[in-house]
Amino acid sequence: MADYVKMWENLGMDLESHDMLCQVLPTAVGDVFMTQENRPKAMDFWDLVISEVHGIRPAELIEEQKKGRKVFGTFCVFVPDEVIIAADGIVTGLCGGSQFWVPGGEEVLPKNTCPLIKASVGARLGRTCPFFRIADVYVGETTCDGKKKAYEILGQDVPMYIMDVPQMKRPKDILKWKEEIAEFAEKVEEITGNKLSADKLKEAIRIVNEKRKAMKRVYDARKSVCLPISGRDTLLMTQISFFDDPERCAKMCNRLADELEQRIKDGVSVVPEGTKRILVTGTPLAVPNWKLHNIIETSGAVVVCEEMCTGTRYFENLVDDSGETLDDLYMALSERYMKNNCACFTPNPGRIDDIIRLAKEYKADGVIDCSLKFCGLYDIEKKSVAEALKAEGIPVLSLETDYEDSDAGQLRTRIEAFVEMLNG
Amino acid sequence: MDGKYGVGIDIGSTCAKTVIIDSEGMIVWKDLRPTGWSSVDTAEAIRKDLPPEIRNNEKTRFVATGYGRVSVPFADKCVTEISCHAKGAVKLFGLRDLNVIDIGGQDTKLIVIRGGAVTEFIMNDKCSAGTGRFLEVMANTLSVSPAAMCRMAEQGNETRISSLCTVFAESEVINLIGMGTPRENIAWAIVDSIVQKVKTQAGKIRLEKEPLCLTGGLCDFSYVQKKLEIVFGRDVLTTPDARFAGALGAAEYAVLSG
Amino acid sequence: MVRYYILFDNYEQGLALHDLLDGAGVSNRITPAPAAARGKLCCGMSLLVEADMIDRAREVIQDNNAVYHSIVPMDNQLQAKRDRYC
Repeated sequence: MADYVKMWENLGMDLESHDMLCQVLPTAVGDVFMTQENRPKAMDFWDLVISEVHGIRPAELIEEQKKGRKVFGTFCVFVPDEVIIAADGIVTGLCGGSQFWVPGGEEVLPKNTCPLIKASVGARLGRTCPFFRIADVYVGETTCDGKKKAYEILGQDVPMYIMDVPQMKRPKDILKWKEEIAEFAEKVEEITGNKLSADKLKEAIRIVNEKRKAMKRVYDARKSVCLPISGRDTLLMTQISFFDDPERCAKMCNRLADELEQRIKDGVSVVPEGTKRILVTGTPLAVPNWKLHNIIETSGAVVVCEEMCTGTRYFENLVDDSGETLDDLYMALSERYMKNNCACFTPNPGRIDDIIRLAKEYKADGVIDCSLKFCGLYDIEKKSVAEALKAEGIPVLSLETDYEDSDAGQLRTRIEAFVEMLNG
Repeated sequence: MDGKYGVGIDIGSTCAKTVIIDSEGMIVWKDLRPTGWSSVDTAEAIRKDLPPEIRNNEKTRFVATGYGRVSVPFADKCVTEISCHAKGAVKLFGLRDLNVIDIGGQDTKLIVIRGGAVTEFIMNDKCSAGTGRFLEVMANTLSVSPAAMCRMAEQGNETRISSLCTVFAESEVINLIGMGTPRENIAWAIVDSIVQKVKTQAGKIRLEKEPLCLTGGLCDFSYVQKKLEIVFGRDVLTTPDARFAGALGAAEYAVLSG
Repeated sequence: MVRYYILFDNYEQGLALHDLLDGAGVSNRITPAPAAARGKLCCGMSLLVEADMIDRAREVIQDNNAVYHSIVPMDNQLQAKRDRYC
């Protein structure tokens, strides 16, 4: 068996505690993924990555650090990867999707903080996630009050840089975000010791755009009535894409998309004809949060799209790389990132437009709007989402959950009832 | 009549309800018993008590519903309590367009039914505030039965408890007891808090002008019905069999199944 | 239902056998080694092989002198509605 113990030890991890986490992962992966029939062959890449989730990629990152490269840990799709990549830095998402880390977070945060924040803080302070140990610097952002204050706590333990995300989308806000990106670029230059140039940034933009296009190809395949991949599998792909090298990620997504497109041609579907198609919207599903998808897909329905940060918001809209100066390119980055319809904006009609558009594109029979407990932003927005969908004649189920297993029965009842309603 | 029977078993958190209908939809047998600590044992006990000619009839179909629906080993099918309550209520109230308020032991459901089909529903949050459990816990605190507490409440005067959480509400009630507040007033406050919670939930769903129908364990308490009418500002219908709505709906699904 | 988990000392060995089995048309899937089967303090991949394929998998291993750690039969590991997440 792979022996990463030495590496984890060197990272200062709490091995005993970490082993408890390793104990539960195989059961969840087995139940959620291996119970599926007829999965795409190309999923074997992601099966490997999740099997060795605290091994392969962390070891790669450490090798790169030995060459002098810096690793930036991020929590949000607003942080522009392009800037980091252009300075030869490496981006890694930071995990926060496991109940395992929540109690550790609750030691320093109020209980009524969202589980994603509690888990992220718990993963750092509990020293049980290699990615949280490896990152040289964390890049936070001001997308919600909970995160803003949690970053102050994390900042006592690890170098932290915060980007100030605007709360509205007026032209001056887009300019302001451009300034934030420019300032961040200076910080990235300082940390990496590498000077940015327009050419380097253009190349980085190209790399990340290619990754976005590849992910979109996989998602586009889900628009087919003959559905070649489950929601669970796509979610895993998306979750891992936050951690992987962007060029390898693009390659693997394209490989998967090739297979899915062939499956559509061959009429290979992962569900029986007539299975109700669900669009999931709401707060992110950070790895290894698979509860919602698993419950939906074992209740007689299938997830065809995720309108969330671990979904379409991660790859929709490309960055225009035609600018000639750094300033032009920063503006192009700002324009792309500010198209993201996070609930942190007011007003946020774009998200509702997106949900309705995606529901149609992906031929969804119904929408499940699910937010993490104590996420006021998404919880409050549920009302306008539900009203808009009802006006469009699209059935919607609003849910709230956290990372605990204990509400699975209640979720099952609601989701099964929703599917029964869709089946008429 | 082809001699086929549908058995609907609704394993709720507090009570297990069973209804048998024949292929014409007539109720031929019903049963109500505490769920106890083991849903599986309860389900087996119910099966043993079924009329032998129905239990042993190979045309009999079993549908389980309620939170313990997966614990009925002999069920041909499981259907959620939302669908079953809706189907049962359509039949019980003889209406195709209605709204069901079901106050159960563990949760409260609001179901919008149009043209005989569910179009929207909402279930309460993880906590037990606004449910039968809340009523039971509070009645316990007052050392009376839930039924007696509802009768008591009718004699009470307006008193409020602010918290909607069962745990905190209980300490508020203890506080009221300590201050010498009459039990009738405390009972009033408790029932009021339940119906207010139901009203709040209803804000998230489009009930429109269609009739409100009360099902579930609290439908026997006329005072709860009366209080719901006050907060909703209109009639709330119920019938003595309304607590069997889920089991009746399940029995209908059973008859319909192959 | 009994399924077989082929365990390895490292993932390179696992991937090598995965490719061999795929090449021979023996269906197998990469999955984390069940906690009960693997040693302490290790997180690692295994190959999951259904009972009707395990004999053919053993043949492929033998024919190619493939390197692996052990083959562990395990009952009832996969339950879609267990609702135990991590």
